[in-house]
Amino acid sequence: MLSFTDYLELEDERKNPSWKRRAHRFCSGIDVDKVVELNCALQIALLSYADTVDEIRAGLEIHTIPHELVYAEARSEPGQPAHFIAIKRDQSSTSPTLEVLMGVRGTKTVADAITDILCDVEDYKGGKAHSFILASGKFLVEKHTKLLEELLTKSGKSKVKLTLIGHSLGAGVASIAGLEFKDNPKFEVEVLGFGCPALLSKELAEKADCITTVINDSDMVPRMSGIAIANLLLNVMEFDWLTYAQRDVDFAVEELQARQGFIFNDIVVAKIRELVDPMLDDFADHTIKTELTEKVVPELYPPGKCIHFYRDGSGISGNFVPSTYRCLAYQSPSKQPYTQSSSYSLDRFLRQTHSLAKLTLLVE
Amino acid sequence: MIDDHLIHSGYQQTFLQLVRQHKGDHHFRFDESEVDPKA
Repeated sequence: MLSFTDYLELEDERKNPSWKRRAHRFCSGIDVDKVVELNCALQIALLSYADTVDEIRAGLEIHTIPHELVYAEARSEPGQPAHFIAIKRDQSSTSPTLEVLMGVRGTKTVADAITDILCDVEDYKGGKAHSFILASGKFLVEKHTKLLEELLTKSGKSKVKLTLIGHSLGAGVASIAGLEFKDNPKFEVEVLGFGCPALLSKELAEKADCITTVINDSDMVPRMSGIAIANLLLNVMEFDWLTYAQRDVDFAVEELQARQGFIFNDIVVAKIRELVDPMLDDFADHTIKTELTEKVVPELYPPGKCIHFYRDGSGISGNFVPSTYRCLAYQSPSKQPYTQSSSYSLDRFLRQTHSLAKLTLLVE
Repeated sequence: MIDDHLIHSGYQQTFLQLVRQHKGDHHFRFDESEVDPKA
């Protein structure tokens, strides 16, 4: 546990705003109109979390682009996420396409979380895919292809222009459903996912040009996979945390001297150091592993074009990045590095102060 | 990590901050002007 929290601090130090700016230097930025458009789509993703059909209907009424609800399922089961289908109001009669919207709910209940956690990988379109998200996506396609084709026939138009929107697990399911609908010549597909999990192998993720994945700074979900977690654990086990621990002890001792100098005089402090330093060295010798094994390259990536928003030190920036880009490959642990590290250090410092106070009583 | 993933504390906040920063208006709200992005 100690090594993990210290490892997070190291990552915070390394992936600072300056590092993020440099890492995105050669990526094209996005303009503010695109951000407004994304926010509009985010409201649909948010609406998919509504508990009742009436809430979904009411939300579609007041949305920037009003839609008419056609179908809604507000309850999720494992592999069958809650979702809704709506048709855009006041569509042009001369347009050859019927504009349809599908919102897919992300993780909200225990059943959804189970789908998230069970992350086996299976063959898909010549690559690999997250098996449970794949099954959920295919479920939506099987369930609604007939309905959408009937709507198309009744509209007299030539194609369904289907926009799928989701957040988290819902983004993953929407992405798979989008890829499946795209195989049908009656559909034009666009997918917009927020915080979509890593779910496709490299080539598939790069080829999925109908999908846009939006990733907010240090959002952990798009970077999370079984291999990524295993690599993280290996990094933590190999991490030499001794310097950080010694620094924390220094902080604790300094604070004790400042608060209760009459007890923690130089002689007592020297005794504490004599006790603590060998203990830390010994503990570090036993716990820090060296050269455990080679890290494995992650098998799954977030799909399609990715837009990465990040704190750049003076504000927020957003850039288009490939799904395999360096900023998405590793987890930057906290959203506000120095604040979070500080709160952690304070907490640990207080605990150490308490322990050292007890230790000092024993010494005396 | 977690906050960045959530809609309200993560994505919505990021979009709001970015647009406020772009417009130089710290009081900008999407509710009032999302119908017209250039408003």
